[in-house]
Amino acid sequence: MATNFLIALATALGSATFILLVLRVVLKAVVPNAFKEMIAIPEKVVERQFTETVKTPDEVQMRPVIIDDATLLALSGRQIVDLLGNREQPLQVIYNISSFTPEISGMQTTSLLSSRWQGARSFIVVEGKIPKARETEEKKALSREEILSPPGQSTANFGSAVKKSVRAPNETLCGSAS
Amino acid sequence: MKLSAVLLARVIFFVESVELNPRGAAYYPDIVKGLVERYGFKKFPEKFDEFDEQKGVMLLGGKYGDTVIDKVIINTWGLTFDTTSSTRNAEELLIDALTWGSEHLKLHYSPDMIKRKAYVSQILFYSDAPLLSVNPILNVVGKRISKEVSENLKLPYTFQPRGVSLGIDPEEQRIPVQVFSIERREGVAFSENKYWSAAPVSTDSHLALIEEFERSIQKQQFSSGR
Repeated sequence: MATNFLIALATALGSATFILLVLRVVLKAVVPNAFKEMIAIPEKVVERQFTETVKTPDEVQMRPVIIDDATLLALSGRQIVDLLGNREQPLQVIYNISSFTPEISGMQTTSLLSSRWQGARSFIVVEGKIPKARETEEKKALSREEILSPPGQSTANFGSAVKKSVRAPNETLCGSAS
Repeated sequence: MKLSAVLLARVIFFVESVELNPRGAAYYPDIVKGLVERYGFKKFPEKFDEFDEQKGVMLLGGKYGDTVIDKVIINTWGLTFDTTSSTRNAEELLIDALTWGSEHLKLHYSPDMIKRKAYVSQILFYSDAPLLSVNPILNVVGKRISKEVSENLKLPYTFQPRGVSLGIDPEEQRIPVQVFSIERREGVAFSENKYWSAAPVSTDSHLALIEEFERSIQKQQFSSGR
């Protein structure tokens, strides 16, 4: 009984394999490129995964610029601007605490190094951002409405610009017209 | 009324800039170079992307004769010319620049091209007349506000009119227009009687309007005092 079953199974499998082999040979003969797709699939997967990890140039430039304090001090203002590419870009400055602690007192050092930092690190990383607001203001063009109907009181000449609420202690108290 | 300073005397000619150069004969850098040589502008476009009429091509700090030219802006929709002398001066200089440009810079200009124009006049002046006491109700309201605010802050405050202004209904506004206003000068004590005023008219008309306003207020005070 079991022997018969095994013989039948082997025959079935053999027939199936044979049919598949015949099909492959026929397809190879008729359509030679038919099996190239099989090879391309893994490549495509790899390619897609790679594409997902690649960032656009903007994203790449928005990564923080990491710089140590000594290098930063050596740079001129223009060089820093060039380094940041005139963008509102994050900046990480690594301060070597050991390089300036001798200049300050023990108490100041203790204040500077909070308990969780003490003895743990000789470097601290300060993150900042260089705003691009000033440059934007300089390049801001006057709109048609601003030309035809300039806003408020202002005196551009001789550096005596008058601003709204000039004596106001706080705009929260006084409000501001917009 | 005693004029303290002309802060802005602006004339705006509404003309599409392409009409000034209809066949493309004039070359923008040459136009700017010519204007810089003639008027001595200290700041002017030098890079290609600064010749953008959508944003406004700007020339700053020029001079012609005794008139300082604060700013000239060339936009696609018109020309703006700023001085701190008078809008009459500004207009004369702008016409002179266009006429000269048509003779020397291959520009095309004739006076009939300017169908519409606008002025912006801003001045500082002193006046002993109570210019802002236009209606007695303002004093009544001012006293009530002063009383309550002084009580709340435990400090003496006196609320007085700060300005009067006339403008147009936004629903009617097709081209933006400067509001006419007379205001106390920002940051200056009321006792100094110093005012700032803006108007959408020529400097001469503006000064005449302020004088007329001043006379009317004085007349009103005189008749209410009798």
